[in-house]
Amino acid sequence: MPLPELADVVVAGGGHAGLCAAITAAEQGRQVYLLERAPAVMRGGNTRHTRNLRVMHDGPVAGLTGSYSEAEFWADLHRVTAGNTNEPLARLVIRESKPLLDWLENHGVHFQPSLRGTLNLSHSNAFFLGGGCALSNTLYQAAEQAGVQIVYECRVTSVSMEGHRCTHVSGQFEGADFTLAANAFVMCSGGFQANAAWMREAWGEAADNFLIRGTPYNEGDVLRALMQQGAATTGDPTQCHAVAIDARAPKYDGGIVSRLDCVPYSIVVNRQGERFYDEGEDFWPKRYAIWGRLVAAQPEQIGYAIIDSKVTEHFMPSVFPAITAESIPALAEQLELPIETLNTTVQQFNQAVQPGEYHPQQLDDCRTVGLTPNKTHWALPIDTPPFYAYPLRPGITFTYLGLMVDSTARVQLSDGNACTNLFAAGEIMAGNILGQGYCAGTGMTIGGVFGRIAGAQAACLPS
Amino acid sequence: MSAELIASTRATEEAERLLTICNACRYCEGYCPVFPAMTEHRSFDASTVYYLANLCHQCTACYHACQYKPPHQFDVNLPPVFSAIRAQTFAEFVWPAAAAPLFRHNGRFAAIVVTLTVVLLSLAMNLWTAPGTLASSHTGPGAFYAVLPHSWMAGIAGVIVLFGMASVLVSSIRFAHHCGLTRRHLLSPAHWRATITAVATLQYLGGGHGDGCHNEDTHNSNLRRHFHQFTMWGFGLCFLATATAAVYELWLGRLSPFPYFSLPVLFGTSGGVGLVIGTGGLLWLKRRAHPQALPQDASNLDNALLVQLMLVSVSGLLLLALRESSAMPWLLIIHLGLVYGFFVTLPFSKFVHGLYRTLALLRYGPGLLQQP
Repeated sequence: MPLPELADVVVAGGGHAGLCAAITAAEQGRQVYLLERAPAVMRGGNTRHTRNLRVMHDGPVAGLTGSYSEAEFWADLHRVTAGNTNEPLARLVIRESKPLLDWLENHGVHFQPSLRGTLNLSHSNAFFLGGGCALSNTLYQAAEQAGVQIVYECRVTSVSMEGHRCTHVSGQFEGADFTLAANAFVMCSGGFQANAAWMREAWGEAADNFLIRGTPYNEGDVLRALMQQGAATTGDPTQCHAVAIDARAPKYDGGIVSRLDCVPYSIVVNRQGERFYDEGEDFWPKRYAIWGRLVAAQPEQIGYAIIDSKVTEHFMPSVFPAITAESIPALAEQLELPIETLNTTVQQFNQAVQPGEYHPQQLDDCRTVGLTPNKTHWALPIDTPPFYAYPLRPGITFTYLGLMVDSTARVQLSDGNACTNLFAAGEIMAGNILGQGYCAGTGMTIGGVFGRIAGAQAACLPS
Repeated sequence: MSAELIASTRATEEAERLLTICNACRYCEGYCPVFPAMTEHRSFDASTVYYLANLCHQCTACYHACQYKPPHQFDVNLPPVFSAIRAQTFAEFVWPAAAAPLFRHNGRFAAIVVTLTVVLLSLAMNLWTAPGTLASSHTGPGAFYAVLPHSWMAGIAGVIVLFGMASVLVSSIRFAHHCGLTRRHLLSPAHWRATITAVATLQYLGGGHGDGCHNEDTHNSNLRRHFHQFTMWGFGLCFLATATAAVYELWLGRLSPFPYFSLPVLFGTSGGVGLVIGTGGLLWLKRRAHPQALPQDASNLDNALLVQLMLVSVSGLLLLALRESSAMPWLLIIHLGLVYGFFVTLPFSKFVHGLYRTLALLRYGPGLLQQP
């Protein structure tokens, strides 16, 4: 598809937020160009790997059970971010989440009851039938139907501003440079987590040991270009959605199957063979998002979850086979951990385990005493061979350093003014709401809500 | 190890690899029974793989929804692997076992058998009928038997059909046993209810939401479901036509050809038309199918069955239309030759997928899916 020189609306990035923006603007009669960096088969950014969005609702709808009020949603968000959030924008996302759900259903997206193993999310998160790739397929179809011109393998690398107005974007398309002017621009091109150099700037050499769970295309080109043009940012470059995943996952795009759900039933040791955090603090879905940072803080950014044969059936199966040995020293040898230390760690742990009634699906009373740190639930002695280990590394989903926006999704400038025709939605601005921490499905809600706001705002600008 | 065994081992190993990935993901849980059934397992031996492959309706929703489909390095594409494994199960459990290789070159096998039955029947008729019989019209009750005596027509059919029934029965029992179908499943009304609903409505070609499955791209369409319905119910109606015709002839003393508005002709005509629409539609969809998710090279079995059903129904409808003319004797011979050929190949054709699918669904039962 040849690119024109001028469009009504240009949307950079074809994930959930970009699709919501492009469809909304096109349905208001605008000629919209959606520039997606990936080829068609890998389109959709991190949306490919998602599976649900968090929705406030009054009663059962779209596979959701019960209800989830604004107050509950806000309390959850406030808790996980430790108040590090923009309350008006957060409440806007919460209130617009149900209309977003209805809008998605009207555009052909199907939902299903929450997946097995995620029942604790059944009242708050609506699950896409088939996951995020299916959602994005449906939205791409809706976009085509609405007349959006979709341009694949088109990379936006710079943004030109005149005062508070964005004039054009440029980058590479079909092996050549392009420049595209438009009446309005919506930036939905994600964070910078796949940009190894930028990650190293933020994290130092530790970043080399991080795995990127999602798309390899989110290198933060647009984010950096706008920062250079004086856009105001929010958040800290080291803040991100980071979970502990299997260290054997691919560097990029490993997605959901690289998760390890065994941590609460295990002890996790570092390279020195020592424990460093309460593995049984809470249910895994409530804790997995802190473990990325915990492992990132360990030497060489690696951890090892160790279990025995009593608990192998109590968590979701993993895609990579466990490393197996008949004794703890043999396991230490395979993992290349200090044998003596690991042996001592396990023995001390086993001696500290208190009698209790083990319930893998409840916060039970199996715990340790006298250890630093203690394990507060699901603590059983690790004494029944064979023993198993899974290596853990930080898996980065997306970075939180983002463009500061207002409630119209307008990009804010560091001089205190707002851009007149430049909007942002999705992970590129999620940091406005997620200053730190995470609760499942929030990213997709932010992307969809702000995508629709940005698309509507872009469409109603006078040309 | 034979080439076939190596190929089959590879398909099973590939399925195990893919299912290990799928079982850690589970995003497709809402599409069809394959994925909920998968979650009952943590590892995948051959019999589990056979069971899951025969639950698969090849709707390809899982391919299009997959974030790990090629070119992702995990290279996940279940439908063609399951298709290959289904063909393998047909060969592995077929009785007599010596017939297993017939599934490998199924199109060629069907073509040879059908050519033989038509040619042999033509030659025999040319030799044994009175001069002029095949060139003139015959009308009124018993007209067909003026060409081929009833005892011969029914006798040949009887031998072929009885053998076919015995073969598919033994093959199905072997499959059922291997894939873990037990007395508990067979005696459960809930399992039968779920299975009958799933088979009668082809529920799992609905895409998990009822809007249909994928063919050439990610658009949902119930076309495949509807064409398959035409084929399945068309076949059923033709079977019913034959059964009512037998009742008319054996118990009511009425001889074919029957009037246009008699039950056998009404069933047969609607069944034949259904088969033409259904098989034609399915063949048309296959030509347009997505090249990765529904590759053509795996469809030898499908084409052999669809083309045979189409030939049988077209020849039957022609025979009905021209039964008063002098073309009737040759049309009858060709139609009978095609029908005989069809039933000879039936136990060694894609036809058995219906039985294996039903048995797999019976084991699955009501499962965990609530679907439209």
